[in-house]
Order: sequence, then C-alpha cells, then structure tokens
Amino acid sequence: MAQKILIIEDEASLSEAYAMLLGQAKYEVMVAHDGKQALDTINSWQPQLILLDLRMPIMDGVAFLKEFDRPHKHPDVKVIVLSNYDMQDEIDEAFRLGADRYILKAWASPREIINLVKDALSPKGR
Amino acid sequence: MQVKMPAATQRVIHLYKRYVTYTTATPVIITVAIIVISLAIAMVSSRNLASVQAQAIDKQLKENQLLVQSNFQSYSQMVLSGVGRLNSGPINRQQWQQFVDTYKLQQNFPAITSMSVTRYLRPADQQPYVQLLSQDYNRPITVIKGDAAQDVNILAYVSPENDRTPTNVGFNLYSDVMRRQTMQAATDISSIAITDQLQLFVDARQSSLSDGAAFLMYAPYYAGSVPPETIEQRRAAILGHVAVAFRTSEVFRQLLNKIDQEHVSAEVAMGRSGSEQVVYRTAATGPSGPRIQRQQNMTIFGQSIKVSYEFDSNFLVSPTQLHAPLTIGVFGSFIALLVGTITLFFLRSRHHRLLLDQEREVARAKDELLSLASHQLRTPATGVKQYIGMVLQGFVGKLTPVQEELLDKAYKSNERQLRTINDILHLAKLDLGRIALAKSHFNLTSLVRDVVDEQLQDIDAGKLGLRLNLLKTAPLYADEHMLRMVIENIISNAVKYTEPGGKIWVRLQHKNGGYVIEVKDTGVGIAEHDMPLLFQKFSRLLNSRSHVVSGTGVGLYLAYHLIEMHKGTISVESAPGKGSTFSIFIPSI
Repeated sequence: MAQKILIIEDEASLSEAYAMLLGQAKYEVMVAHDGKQALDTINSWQPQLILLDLRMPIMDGVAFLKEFDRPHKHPDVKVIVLSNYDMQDEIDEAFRLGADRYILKAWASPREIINLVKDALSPKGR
Repeated sequence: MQVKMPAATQRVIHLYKRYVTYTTATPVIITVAIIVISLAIAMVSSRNLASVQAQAIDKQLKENQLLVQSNFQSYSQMVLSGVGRLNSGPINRQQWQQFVDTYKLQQNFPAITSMSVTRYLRPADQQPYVQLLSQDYNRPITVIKGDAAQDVNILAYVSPENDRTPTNVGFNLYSDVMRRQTMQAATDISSIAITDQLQLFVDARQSSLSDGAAFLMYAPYYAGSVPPETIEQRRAAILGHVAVAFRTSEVFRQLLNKIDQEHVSAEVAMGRSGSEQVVYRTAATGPSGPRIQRQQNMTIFGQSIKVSYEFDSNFLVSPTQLHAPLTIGVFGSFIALLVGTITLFFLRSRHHRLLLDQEREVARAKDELLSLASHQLRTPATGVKQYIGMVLQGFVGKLTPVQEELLDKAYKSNERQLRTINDILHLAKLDLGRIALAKSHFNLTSLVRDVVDEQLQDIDAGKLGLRLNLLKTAPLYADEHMLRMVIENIISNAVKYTEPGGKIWVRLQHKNGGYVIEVKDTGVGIAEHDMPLLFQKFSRLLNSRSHVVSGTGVGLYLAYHLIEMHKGTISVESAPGKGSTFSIFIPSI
C-alpha cells in the first residue's frame, strides 16, 4: 500500500508541483491549503508524513503544529517544514512543537525533496 | 498576509512616551508633596507649641501678679492690724514688742526687718511725750534731728529691737524728705503709703550689706480711733504711723522663688511711676537661645512695680516637644526624598523595561518584514525551480540535448535569482544588526569538502585544475551556516574569476589557535587601486571576466562581516594577471 503524504501549502503552484512530483514517485498525496483544512483531512485520512508550510492564511504552520500536537497525538507521523519564510523564531518554535526537519523551499530542488521524503519515511529515517 | 507590526509598535511607543513624562515628573511631585505636607505639619506643630507656651506664660504672669498683690495685701493687713492695736488703747514699749512677736516676723516674713510705731508731735507736745518715752525706755530720750519749734514725727517703738534701737528712738523721721512726704501722704489719704527705695537707718552704718535697697510701708493712726473725713481733720487728728520696713530684694526673692528659676529670668523695677529703679534681678540658668520677653506692670499703694520676664524656649516644654517641629520637618523631608528616589528608580526600571520591550518589538518587526519580503520574492522563483527541475529530471520524458541545455540555463538563471534574494536578505539583516551567530560543533574539513563538491560541476565546466590540502579533521565551534556562505562565496569567486584551464588550490591548516582556509587561484587578479573596494557593499570590479560572471557585489562584504563576527580575519593577496589568494582565519574558541 502506498505511503500517504499530506502537503499543507497555500501557494497553489507549489502544492501542485509537490503533488505531481510525489505522486509520480508513487506516494498517495493529498493537499490542504491551510492548517484548518489539514486538521480536517487528518481526521479521516491518516498520512505518514506531512510537508508543512509556515506562512498560510486562516491557520499557519505553527498554529497547526500546536493543534496537531505530534508528540502526544501523532508520534508516528513525520513532519518536514518546507518554507520560504525563514524567521528564526518561527523555525525554532516549529522544532519545539515536533517538526523533524526544516528546509528552505528555495534550496529544495525536486530531487532533494524526493530524497528528503524517502529518507524520512525509510524505517531508520527520522 | 498581514504585517501586525505597526499597531503593536505604536502601542509600545505610546506607552513609552507616557512613561517618559511620568518618569521625571512623578517622583518630583511626590517628593515636593511630602515635603510640603511635613513642613505644614511642622509649622502647625510649631505654632501649636508656641501657643501652648504662650498660654503657659500668660498663666504664669497672672499667677505672679496675684502673688504679688496678695503678698502686699497681707503686708498691708499686718500694718493695719498695728493701727488697730494702737486704736484699741494706749501702748508701751513692752506691749508693742509682744504684739509684733505674735507675727513671728523672722519666720513668717523674712522680708520685713522691723515693724515700728511713730509718734506725730506738735511743738507743745514734744517735751511731755519724750518724758513719757524716757520712762518707758528707762533712760533719757531726746528728739533727734528735730526742731522744737516745728512738728516732728519721731520713732517711738521698734520691734524687733536691736542694739541700735536705743539710739534710733526719738529720731525725727520728718527730717528725711522721702519719709516725711510718704507719711504725710498716708495721713492725708488715711490709708497705706509706700516710700520709694531708700536705705534703712539700721543699714546706714552697715556698708557690708550690698543690697541695701528697702522701702517702708506707712499707715496712719488718728486720735479718736475712727479716721476723720477730710484732709484737714486728718491732719489735725494724726497721732502717728505704723511703719513696716521691707528689704526689697527679700520681698521679690520670695515672690519669684515660686517661678521656674532655670528657665525664667526676671527683673523687678519699683518706684514712682516713670522713675522706677531696678530692685531685684534673677538670672535663668537654663540653655541660652531665643527668649520670649514679657513685661508686667502693677501699681500697689501708689508704687509702680514693673517685672520684666525672659522665658527661654524650654520653659514648660520638654526638649522633645521643642524639637518636634524640626524633627517632623527633617524626617518628613528625608521620607520625601526616600519615597521620591524609590519612585524614580521604580519608574526608571519600568521605563527601561518598556524601552527594551520596544527595542525587541521593533527588532522583531524588522525581522518579520525582512522574512516576509524574502518569502514573497522567493515563492515565485521556487515555483519556477520546481517545474523546470521536474522537467530536467525527466518528469515529462527524455529531453533533446538542446531542450536540456536551454532548460538548464533557465534553471541556473533562476538559481542565481534565489541566491541574490538570499544575499540581499542577509545583507539587510547584517545592516540591521539582526544576524546572530547560531554556534554549534562541527567539522570544518567536512564543510569545506561539501562546498567544493557542490562546485565540482562548475570546476569541471571551466576545465580548472583543483588541488585540495585539508586537515583530516578540524573540529570547530562556530555558526556552520554562516561559514558555509563565506567559504562558498570565496571558492565560487575563485571558480568564476579563473580563465578555463587555470588552477585552484584549497588549503585548510592550523594556525595560532585557529584555522586558516586559503583559496588560491590563477585567475584575473585584482588591481591595487581596486583593493579598497573589494570588501565593500555592491562593489563589482571591472576585469576581463566581468562580462561572463554574474553577481550582486554583496558576497565579499557579507563574508568580511561574518568572519568579523567570528572574531576572525579575511585578507587577500593579489596582482592583475597573477591570480589571487584569499586567507580566512577563524579562531577555534
């Protein structure tokens, strides 16, 4: 069964690109455009990994992580923060709330994204 | 996307301004208010003290006046009782002594030296009375200083007698003007009269007595017991006088004994109104200092008595009470300053905290703005990167060489765009002082190797020779991300500014408690006049490769400051056409 990845990204051009890229790599992908949508999706659809943007309308990445509460409610779900908003405070906060990785979107080529995801989902990856 | 900064910042600035005003004004107002209050209390208490004291002094003066009056009243009673005795029938020397003895003068009236009887005699009466007196005294008595042709008023009986009494008996008291006038006045008014200050005969020969001032109190007695109505009748009926002699100083010593000797000075002047002379003086022994002066005037039997008092400030007041106003004033001022100072410090620290909050808020706002700007600039380029990257990775099938070449150029161009955004972001952060080093332990050798690996494609493309001379391991505690940017910049410069076929050396060595990274190339080099511009912002030097090399002119500026932040140095040796050597020194602590 294909592994499930939830992409939380408000910028449609990017979420589409990531969805296409990961879909071709044989992952089952769903897209949420903000944290609120993402929480709704997670209720019915359990992803193994989340690609999370930080700056989003309605509910941003940090607020999502607070609600999502990975350490207590979803310890098995990997979270990779992928954002172009490199404000150190927010990045630190994201790690504190349980993110596994942070990468600046601008530096992440399609190949690196695939590698990152593979790495995170491999049994020994974290 | 919203920027929340302005509202928050404005709020902080608003608060800040309010507190700046209060910081100086409030403590001053508090201090002044407390000082004013304590001074007011001090004044009220001082005034209160003064009024308490004034009341006490008034009371004291009234008491003194009553005392003087009652004393003179009892003296006059005594004189009048002598008159009464004489009116009750004839009297001899022995009977007078017995009468006066009942008063126990020495014991009860120490101010009185004697109580006498005088006898008024017309020329015709002189001889018979003197004979009578001689029998009484059992020796010949004569009228002394009298004139047989004139009226005399002679001393008949004296009590207590002393060794001079015999020679004084018979003395014509009218021979002394003061005595005569006073006696005549007493006769005329049929009442008591008092002499001015004079010297007693008994003292006249006793010059050793220093305060010889004395006065006499006379009361007339008439023939027929009842005092006549008119002056003429009185003059006709006068038989003599009862005379009481007082030592003035003794009179007032007894009176003034009753007042507080320590805190009150008093001076008594006595005499006819307008010509009073000082008869008694007592000096306070208490502390010197401000005095309260009061004067008291009385008229007793025609004599004016003026008492001048000086009360010192401690009169009837304890030193604690006396100093209370000053204590309240000083203590109040002290408390005022204390409270003012505490308030000032409190507000200062609050103000300081607000300033810090404001700084933090402003700094955060700047960070947010920068991050937001870079986010907005990066996002479209990131989209381009993803889509072209996917095509280049064969997402839509195999590309023709030309397709691949064109897309690769597009991809690289986009990459440059992203790097430029990154450089400018860092530059802005640096200029705003918003770059903080995030230090961690890492291996510098691995870092340098990674950076070189990333550039291998370009090195190969430029057909450059590369020689690495690295330490096996180089543990360092520094900001890895920032150092990566610096080393990337220096090596990519070497790659960019070296003509195809050239060579690049990268060395990493220990030196002076740190590491030196040396990047040497056989590139175009740097002209001497360009050296000062090298590490400046937005400076791009003109050389033979400027047209093929892209850049923002920010890299070396950033590198210089990032190394400086690590307390390291960056230097360059170069000459046009001879290549360049960049050396970065980073201390390991």
